[in-house]
Amino acid sequence: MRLTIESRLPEIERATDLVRELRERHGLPQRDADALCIVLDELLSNAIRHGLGGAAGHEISVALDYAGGEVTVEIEDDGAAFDPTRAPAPVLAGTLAERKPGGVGIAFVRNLTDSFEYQRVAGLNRIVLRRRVMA
Amino acid sequence: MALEITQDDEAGIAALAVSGRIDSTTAAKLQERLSELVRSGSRGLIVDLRQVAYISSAGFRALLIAAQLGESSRCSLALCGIVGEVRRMFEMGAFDQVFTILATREECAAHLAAASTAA
Repeated sequence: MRLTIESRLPEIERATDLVRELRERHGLPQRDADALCIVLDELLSNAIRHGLGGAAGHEISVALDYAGGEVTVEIEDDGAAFDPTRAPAPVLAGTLAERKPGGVGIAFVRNLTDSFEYQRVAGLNRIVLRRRVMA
Repeated sequence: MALEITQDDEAGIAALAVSGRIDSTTAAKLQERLSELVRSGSRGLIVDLRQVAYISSAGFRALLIAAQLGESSRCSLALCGIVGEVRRMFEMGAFDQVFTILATREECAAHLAAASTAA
């Protein structure tokens, strides 16, 4: 299943709708679908806000596939080169006043997936993630 | 399902029941509502997340900003209904260490009433 979205935050919902379609088609657990929606929300919002500098008019392609007990997610965008797999771990210690809003998104992606890879290919950021799922 | 918020007020404390998903497209709505309540002089805020399908980092950002704003305005924030996968996300981001999380709205109300009297 493949989809191209525009580089605007409201478009992310179309990608999470695609997760729902995948879940319904293969009878995947809701828990896994929700985890995949979080992963897509983190990576797509990151690509739109940072990689593309919030600029509209770019396209981001999202592909989802379920095979052999795992879901594979592929995301491609033409934003500035950025490897999220090398993002530093967030600082999670501290009081309410000390905590910085932000920085945990990529940590969530790492936690919710079994593999998380990045490549820069022909001017595109390409992220491939896998999550094992029991249908 | 998109984000829906229903509100009940009692003795200056606003209790919000949130349902749906809290993500980068819906979190602003929650953050705006919470900030508005802090600015309008609420004595405390309760956010019940029992009906939330999932929460991404954008949702935690909204809650954190509201709680920090509240802390500097004598309007504490207490959360309840943090269960299942939503609780797992709180633990993953160590947000269970910074927010006041209680089991029920009644416990939150009692906690906030005591905090507001002590302030």
